[in-house]
Amino acid sequence: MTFKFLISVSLLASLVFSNKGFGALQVMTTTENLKAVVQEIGGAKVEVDSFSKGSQDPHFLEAKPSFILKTHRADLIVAIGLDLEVAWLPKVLSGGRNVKVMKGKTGYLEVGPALPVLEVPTGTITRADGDVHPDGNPHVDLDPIRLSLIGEQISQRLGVLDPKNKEFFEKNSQALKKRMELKTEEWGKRIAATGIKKVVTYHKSLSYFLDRFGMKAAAILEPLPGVPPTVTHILSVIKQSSEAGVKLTLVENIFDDSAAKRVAKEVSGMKVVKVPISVGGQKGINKVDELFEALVQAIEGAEK
Amino acid sequence: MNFFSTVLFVQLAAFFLLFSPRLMAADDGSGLSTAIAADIVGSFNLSEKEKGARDSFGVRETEISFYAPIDHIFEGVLSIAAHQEGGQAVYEVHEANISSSKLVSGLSFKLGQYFLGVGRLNRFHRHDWPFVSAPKVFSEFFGSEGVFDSGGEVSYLLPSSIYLNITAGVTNSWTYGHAHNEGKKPKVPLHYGRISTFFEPLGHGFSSGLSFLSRTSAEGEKLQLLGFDGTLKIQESSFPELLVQLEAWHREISLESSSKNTAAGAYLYSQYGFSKSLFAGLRLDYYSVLSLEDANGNKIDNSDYAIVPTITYKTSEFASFRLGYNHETSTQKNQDNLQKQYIELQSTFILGAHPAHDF
Repeated sequence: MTFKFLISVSLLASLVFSNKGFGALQVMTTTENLKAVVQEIGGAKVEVDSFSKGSQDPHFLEAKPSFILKTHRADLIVAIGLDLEVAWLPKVLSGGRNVKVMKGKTGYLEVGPALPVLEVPTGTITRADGDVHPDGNPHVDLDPIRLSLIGEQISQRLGVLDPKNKEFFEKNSQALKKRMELKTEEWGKRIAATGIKKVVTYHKSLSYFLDRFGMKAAAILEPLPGVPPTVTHILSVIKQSSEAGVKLTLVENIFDDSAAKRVAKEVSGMKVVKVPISVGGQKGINKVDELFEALVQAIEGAEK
Repeated sequence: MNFFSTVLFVQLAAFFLLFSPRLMAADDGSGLSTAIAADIVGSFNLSEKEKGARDSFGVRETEISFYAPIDHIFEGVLSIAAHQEGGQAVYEVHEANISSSKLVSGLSFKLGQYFLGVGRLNRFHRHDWPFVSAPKVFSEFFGSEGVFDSGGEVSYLLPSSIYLNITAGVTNSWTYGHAHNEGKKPKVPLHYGRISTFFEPLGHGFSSGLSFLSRTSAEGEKLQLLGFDGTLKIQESSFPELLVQLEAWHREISLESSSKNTAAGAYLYSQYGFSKSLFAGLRLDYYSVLSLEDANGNKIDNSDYAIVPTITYKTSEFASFRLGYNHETSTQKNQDNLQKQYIELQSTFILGAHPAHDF
């Protein structure tokens, strides 16, 4: 009796609340940066949402049932791949029980593996090395040029799923690419003008950004990927920063900046700036251009 | 093949898989993942009366799990656990099932042996629980580690704008709960269901479910369980800052020839995360036998309750250390209260892969 009651209530509720949208392609992305790119390329032809918020670390999300529901209704899932979402996305995909967006299907796109990847580990890696990604650093979306290549992949896939709007997607993808190329040149000049070549970061999130603009991370506050700073390691960062003459620590704003402040106390002239690494990661950052602009301004600000 | 030969077979299979370099290789194209979990627990009594009675420290359980896609449609899991029972290591198959979520949109199923998809704790392996030992209501109704059995389970995500998921299953149920014998064929096999939903109040996650379970044993004893579970998680960064977990269950056992035996209980667990590594929790347990009567048929008020604060330290998702203090009180009308106080220490670690968890 109870069992029948439960089923009746569920079926009734499903009839009452069912309102799956029609028309526009339903796209889910794993990060806000990917969402911004899909939005720009798909325009009104897509409805897009991101699983993670700009203030969250996409490595460590919970496989929430709301993600499962969105996956079930999606036409396309866009993920970074390179094991960035390995802790939660497989559960979301299997829970969504939507055959068309499962791995290997047209409705599932991982953009990372098709890009030139940095920091691919060599030799044997184990958990003793921290949260190392075997296929390389997954933060590919923090390079404006790679981001435009991501745009091309997304445009191509949207064109397959919605062939009648293929040209529209391609046009928008080309516009993004052109704009990113122009702006990258401008951002590059502005960063070069600061003379800053080395910085300290918390995690290796900014590797692609730094590489694009001829900069390097002289030290990382995490002793190993995914491991919070230890006292011994902070002392080592102080030593490395002093020796390399580093004057700027960029702390990705999804992390705590107390270790960076301790380093700054000991290193003469060191500034600590918290920076967003995602669209929506800070008030007023709603587009990828605004994200990169904020990062460039953070570097310019340190020089003053 | 009887129970013991099945166990022996599975052990040999596991041994072969574990030590076969070809299958263990991550890049062999099979997608096979191996996980080994160890759960080490110490219990130290603080009550004067029973001092020393419960003191122990050792491996409570080890579990070896293998999981992989079987082919383009199916996935498989094999999980074998060993635990101490009466001074001997006892092996048992926790999970050996084939499943798929790729055949019908919104539908998944599994066939074989598995932990029943009811309530909250029963859907998680014990080493993944946020506290050391089961609350009273759970250990009374499901045993100390949960109920697993062989059968079939179907889960369906209803096509609605809010999350509504129905799970239903039927199992062999020759035995119920923790047992190492073959049991007897039940008059009505174990059948169960759970309907669950999910909301995001203020952007945070709240999951809840209503579960039902019933079985009539070979002797005609009818078991009926009805339960509610709710889980709230607040996670703004890389770890849950707040976890609140509740389960409430009502059990009725009836024999055609006698009166009903009813009991009910609940636990409420709250956990605050100071950082990715440090968590403090508090669990409140309640349990009562509702049908307890004296010789004259008068109801006897009784209740068991416990307060269990815990501290957990994790270096990663693969290693944790936990300290828990248990203060248990049993009350019964016209009798002195009984109290037990003990400390539990736990260390768990996982070698190899660790699959993503449900919310």
